Amino acid sequence: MNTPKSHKRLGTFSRRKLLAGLGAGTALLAPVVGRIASAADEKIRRFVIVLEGNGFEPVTMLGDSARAAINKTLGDDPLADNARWWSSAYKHEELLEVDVMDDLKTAKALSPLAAGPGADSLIDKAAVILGLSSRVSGGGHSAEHGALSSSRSVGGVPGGPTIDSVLGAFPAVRGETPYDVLRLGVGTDPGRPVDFMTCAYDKGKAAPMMLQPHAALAALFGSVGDKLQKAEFARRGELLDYALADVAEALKPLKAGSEPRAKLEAYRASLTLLKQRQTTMLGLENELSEALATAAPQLPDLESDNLELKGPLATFAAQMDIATAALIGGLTRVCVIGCATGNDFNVTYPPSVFVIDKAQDGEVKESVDESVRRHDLEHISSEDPHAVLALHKATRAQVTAIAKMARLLASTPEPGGNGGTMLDNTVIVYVGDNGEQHHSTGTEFPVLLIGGEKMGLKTGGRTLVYPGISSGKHRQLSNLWNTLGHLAGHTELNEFGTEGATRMATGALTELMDG
Amino acid sequence: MRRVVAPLVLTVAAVAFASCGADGESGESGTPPTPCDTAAAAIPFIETSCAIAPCHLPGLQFPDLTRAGLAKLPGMKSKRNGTLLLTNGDPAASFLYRKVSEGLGGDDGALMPLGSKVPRDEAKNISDWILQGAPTDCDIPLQDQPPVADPNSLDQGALFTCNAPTVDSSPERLRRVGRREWTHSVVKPDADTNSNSIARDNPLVTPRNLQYSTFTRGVSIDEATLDLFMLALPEAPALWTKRNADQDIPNGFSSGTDTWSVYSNPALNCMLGTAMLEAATMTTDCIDTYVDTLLRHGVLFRTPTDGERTRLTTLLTETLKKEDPTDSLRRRKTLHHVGQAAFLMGGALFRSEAGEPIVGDPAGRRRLTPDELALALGNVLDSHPVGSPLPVKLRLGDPDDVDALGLAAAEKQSLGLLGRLGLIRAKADLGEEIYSPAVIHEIFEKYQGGKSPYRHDLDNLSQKISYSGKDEKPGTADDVFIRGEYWVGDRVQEFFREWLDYKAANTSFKDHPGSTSQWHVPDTKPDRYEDTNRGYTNLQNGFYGHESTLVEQLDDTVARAVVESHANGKANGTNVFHELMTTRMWRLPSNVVNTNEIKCTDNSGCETCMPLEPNMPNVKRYCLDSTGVTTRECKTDSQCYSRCTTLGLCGSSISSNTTTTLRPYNLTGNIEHTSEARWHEMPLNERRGVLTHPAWLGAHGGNFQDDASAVGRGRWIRENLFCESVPGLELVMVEAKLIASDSTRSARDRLVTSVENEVTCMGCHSKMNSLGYPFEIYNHAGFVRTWDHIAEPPDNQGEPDGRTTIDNLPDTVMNTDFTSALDFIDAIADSPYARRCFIRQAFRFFMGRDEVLSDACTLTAMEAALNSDGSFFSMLEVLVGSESFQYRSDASEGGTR
Repeated sequence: MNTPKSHKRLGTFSRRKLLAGLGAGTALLAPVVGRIASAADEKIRRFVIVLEGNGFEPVTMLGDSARAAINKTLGDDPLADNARWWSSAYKHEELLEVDVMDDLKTAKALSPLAAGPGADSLIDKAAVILGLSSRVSGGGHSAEHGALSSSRSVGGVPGGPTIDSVLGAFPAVRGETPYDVLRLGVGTDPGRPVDFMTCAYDKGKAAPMMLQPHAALAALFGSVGDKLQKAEFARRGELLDYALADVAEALKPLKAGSEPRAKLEAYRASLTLLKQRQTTMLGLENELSEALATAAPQLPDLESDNLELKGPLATFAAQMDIATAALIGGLTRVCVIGCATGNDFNVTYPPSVFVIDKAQDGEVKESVDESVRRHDLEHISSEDPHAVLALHKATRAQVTAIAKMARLLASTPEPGGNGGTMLDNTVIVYVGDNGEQHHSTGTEFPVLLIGGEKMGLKTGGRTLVYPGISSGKHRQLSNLWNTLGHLAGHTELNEFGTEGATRMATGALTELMDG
Repeated sequence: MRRVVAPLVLTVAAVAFASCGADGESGESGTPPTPCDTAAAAIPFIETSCAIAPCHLPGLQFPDLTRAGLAKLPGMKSKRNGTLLLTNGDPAASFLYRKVSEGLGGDDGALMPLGSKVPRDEAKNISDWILQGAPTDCDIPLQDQPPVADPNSLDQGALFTCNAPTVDSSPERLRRVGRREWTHSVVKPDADTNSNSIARDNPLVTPRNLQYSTFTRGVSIDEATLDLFMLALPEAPALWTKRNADQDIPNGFSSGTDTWSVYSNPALNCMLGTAMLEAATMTTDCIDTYVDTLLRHGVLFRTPTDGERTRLTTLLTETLKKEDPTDSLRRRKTLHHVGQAAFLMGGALFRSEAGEPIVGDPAGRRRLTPDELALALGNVLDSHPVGSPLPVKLRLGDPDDVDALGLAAAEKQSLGLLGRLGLIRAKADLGEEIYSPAVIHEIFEKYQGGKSPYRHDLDNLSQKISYSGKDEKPGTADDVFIRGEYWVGDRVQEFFREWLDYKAANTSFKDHPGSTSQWHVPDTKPDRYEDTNRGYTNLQNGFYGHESTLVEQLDDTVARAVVESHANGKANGTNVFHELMTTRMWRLPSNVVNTNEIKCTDNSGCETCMPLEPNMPNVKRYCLDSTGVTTRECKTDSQCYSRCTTLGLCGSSISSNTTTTLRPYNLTGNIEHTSEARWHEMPLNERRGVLTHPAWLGAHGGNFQDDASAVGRGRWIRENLFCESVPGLELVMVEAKLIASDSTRSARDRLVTSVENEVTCMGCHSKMNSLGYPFEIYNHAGFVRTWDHIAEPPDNQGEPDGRTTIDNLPDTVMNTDFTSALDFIDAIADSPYARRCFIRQAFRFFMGRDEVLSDACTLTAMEAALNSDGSFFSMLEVLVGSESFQYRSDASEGGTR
């Protein structure tokens, strides 16, 4: 393992600095101060959910030993060599637990977890889960908010809160961080700044996901960014100052104690809080600068014509890096990073997606010079094996970015001084937003988990295969979200989602819980 | 939107207890409690658990248990069983105590507080208090939070009794701008989010605890809302920063629509014109004109105060000075920054309705200023702020379309500069004239609604309103219109969506929506790609094709009822309420629009994409039918009518999503692709009025066919047609769950078995279930049930059961037996009580507040207008002309006056 480098209070704000930044508005910030006051002995819990909008295929997560274990249950009808999904084939009635050393690195998309030059293995800190369904979310091209809410989004309106919102609202998770949840994404239109189709605060109340890495970086690290970002950060402060001055004047003729005055005072209080956050972030210059240097996000080159430099995978990698910096900088403890999620699935890959690593896949596609849209790639994959390899390569690229985040967190000591690393207190979940295939029935959502050892997550390089959907012991994606709730210290989170009568079982996936 | 009465906090008892004994010794161990000690423990509990809406407040059907009411309780008898409510010194002889303790008998009703399964510990405090003489004059601190007034607790008869002359007014208020209004103020549609617009997704939504989106009591901007608003803010001033798209700032937002106020406004040439970067053209006049125009037509929609004007002028002037002369985008950046600042102003986000003093008014009232009245009037009819930038290009039939008037250019420009709802703006600019009833009538005539197939009122500008034939573009003379030709002002439409609360029909998850209908399929299979579900889902989201959604179909049906009753109500002797409850003329989608109407039995009878000469690669391909007739070029079968649909007609690649859209309406025939055919008279023995429309039924139904849909539907009827409240879920202290789902039990059976024999449950459910049972002839998604689950093998199928016996509606004529929703709705349509409740709902929405007793003369006048000619618009016109609408007083909003 890499030696953790020296670190001075990254991941948590200095109470002194924050209080110094509060100024005259302190009375308005009582809840925040309360959180800070109790922060000294808090247990750190972080959650990162990485979501692919086209789903990813179960076979990309399937190690050789896990395949053998499944085949053993299938008798004379084993998985075909080219099988990509098989949710209807499961016959086992009890959980299959495959615990074979380094099996995960034999899976098509999990090689980035293995040790390499200058990189420690993450295999033992990871686990793969197969066999979870979420039919309530609908599947199809995209379940929109459904995957993270275990409910059905209809007409683009979420059917319930997504798990990130629930986790971010737990005081034991948010602690003193300025942002309850950081939501970053990748869309098909680089001009579109935010999207509301993946996460939700509540039923009918969608939450925005920032799609532009440049804007996200400016919003989060503008106070320590380049000249342009600092200028944008400063302009935002000027706008808040202008509004505060205007509201102060508007308040003058309003009678004390009147409702109109109370409304305007509430608005002034909100303006003050945002302004104070600006001040606070300015006071954390060193911490945020160091976090940013650690994660070193490579922003997509928007001026380039080269999709390698600004396409969805490059944008996704940048968003992952920004999220890593935000976690290390202590700006948040819950992140969602989406790629082509929320029905915005038809991203365009550069031609290189067809250039297959021969060592990895044993085949090379020659002379491809056209970019390809994900939707087309999915459809032609039924006839073109190269398209299948390309899809798997895209999944592997995402795992590469996830592994980068995990390794950076693993190399950063936990600021609380509990002897572990930030990865020990961070659960990373990688899952698709519509299930096992392009036109999904929502019957299987493969999951990759990394980290979280000190939070009580049991990984160990295992593969867990839950019984198929017709079995009484089948489990659903909602059980995974319940599990995250339990890891967050909220063992009452047992019926997340709106599965109603179709819920197979309440509670967490106990096989993932340590002890 | 649903009414939620705020739960009261049960934390005051300890505080009260500690403060009751003035000597500070009463709480010490070993000291006998004084009468005030017991009162301090008992009274706050009663007040916070019982004296709440809609239960034990003054004037309601149940005993008043406020502090004042408790003092009058000794000697009073229970209406339920005739026993004494409170006998000082004798808890056992006090019904008040027995209701919260053990030993309730058959006529005693549910244990209190409602929702309790076992007696609460606090019952002992009430016993002690009664033993000590039940004193009510102790010095017990008042609660921090007063009881929330529930308008449904008011005596409806008193609300419609006008003891003239009255001096009416409403509380002064500051109305926070709503989501849709803000979207329109930045000249964006409230439709699907554009690729580069997030204006629709601004966070200025009304909290869910308020019944209507127009309510503003306590609505401000909290930290989270402001955080989200800051994401939308950069888009707000885009329109005001440039004239040409090629001058975009790299901020991701386009300038949007060309408007008279900006794009075509010559007065802004000095700031936005081609010479705008020439320093010589930048004069004080130019800056002043720009600031004034931005504030009047983009931000405030009224005359700015001197301070507002000065502050923004200063900011603009200072920012102009800082421009980098080498930056070609400098002006746009300046205006973008200044514009964002303007959109953060207090006046940009809050509209004042304070009024100005009336000389000599004995009640000290104030009257809305012409500017304030203009905004308020506009807000009744439309969600575009009065005077907001008017697009140069509008849909045919738009009342503000100045192009259609055939005027000279200068006159057109002058009218265009008035902005949206220009007639209101013009009248307000004339001052007092806007108060004139004749002017208000003129305004209503222009903007209230009418008939136009072009439907300028539709906000979804990307939605096709018409097309001339299959796969052809719209705009030809023989256009076929998808939507109905009746339109109403979009605020009026919002009222009906919110009162009937059917917007959720497009977003509610329905498992196997065709379950128990004639299109039932076993629910053991995933329903994603099942035929009925495909059609139902497409009715919800309109993804495939161009037909309207469920909600839009009910919108059109409602609009027709409103407009027709306005036109014909007087002659026909009917009224809009009756028409809404009974209309069977519904707007439906065409289910054959994506077929070519060629009959088939399988795909082989439909078109195939192939070359004219077989086995010839690399030649043009054509859609060929079984006769070999070619129609169009193609590349794949998906571009042809290649699928044999469930209708037995060949359909296009999306036809599987559009040919089953009549199933929720239980129609087995076809609706042809014509404007006229989409109006369909529904069968008398199946449907009647808006409450039997799948949109309403789905919005108020559960997710699964055997869910307790009857509860939600019954509750809506109780609260919105009879203006009585059902206690909130916050009072429920038992695990309120239905028994497990199984194939031998219908939804009704599950509900009856779980609830009807439980006194605890029936305390609330008696107000809902019997009103919802009639609708069990429809399933959770609004399909007509052809059978329902019963415990009779072998197939567990029985007749749907919509029978009910009602015994507790305030309109006693309604307390009788009904066989189903159909005869039940006939009775509702004829109920004067329900019609009055409808008037109260309209009052609430358009006033943006609950009614109070002093609004009686306004409500009475509204009723008289409705009874006179049956018109909803006439009733509204009376409302906006009333003193309740136009006058203001000092009382805080939502309080009593």
